[in-house]
Amino acid sequence: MSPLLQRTLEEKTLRRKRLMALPYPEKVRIVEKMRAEAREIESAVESTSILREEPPAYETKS
Amino acid sequence: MKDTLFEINKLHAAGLIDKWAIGGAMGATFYLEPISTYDLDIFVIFEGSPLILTLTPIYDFLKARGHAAEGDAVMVHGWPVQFLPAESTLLREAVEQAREIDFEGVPARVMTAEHLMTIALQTGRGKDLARALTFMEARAANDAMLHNILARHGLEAVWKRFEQNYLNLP
Repeated sequence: MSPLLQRTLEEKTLRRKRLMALPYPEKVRIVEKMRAEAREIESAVESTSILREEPPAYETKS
Repeated sequence: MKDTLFEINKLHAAGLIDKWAIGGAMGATFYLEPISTYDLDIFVIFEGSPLILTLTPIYDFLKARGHAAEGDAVMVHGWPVQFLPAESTLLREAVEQAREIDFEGVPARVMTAEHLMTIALQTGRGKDLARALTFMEARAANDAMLHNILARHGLEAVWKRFEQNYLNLP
């Protein structure tokens, strides 16, 4: 692995750690922002290109 | 989300729901990096017979407070909230043992990292397994607690498969 790629991956790991360490309300605000941006993209693009996932099937009984 | 959680506490105070907890992507976001999601999964314990379980009283209560239903969720202060009955023993335990948090002055409950991981493994979609892997990479879950939950709910084989497929253990 080249030193450049190594450094990039290390920085990426550090960034993820910093995000994980944020207070919950701050993380929620980031999610809200991501959601607003995703909606904006969704409204600008033909719906056929949006990936729709199946909802999770939680076990109802055990 | 603070106002959304305030409304959920109102439902609890009105006796329409028993214990509740945040699960899904927003539950995982408590422990991990922010995860993009559209809705807020609220797992709820309902006392009484599951045969007569209906979400109508919840929807009616929220509607009277100005929150309209939108598909399979209710839009509460900008968050589509999905109320999911904690019917299985695993989900019920996850709600009962959820950790209590303070969200900018509003009390809330979030499932533990170990329960979120176990539910993700049980649900088993690609993104659930990816989330379980992120929990592992972040060392966000307590190993002993996780394995205790997996064993009690008969999910050891699911863990073994996950371990074999996604964890590079010797």
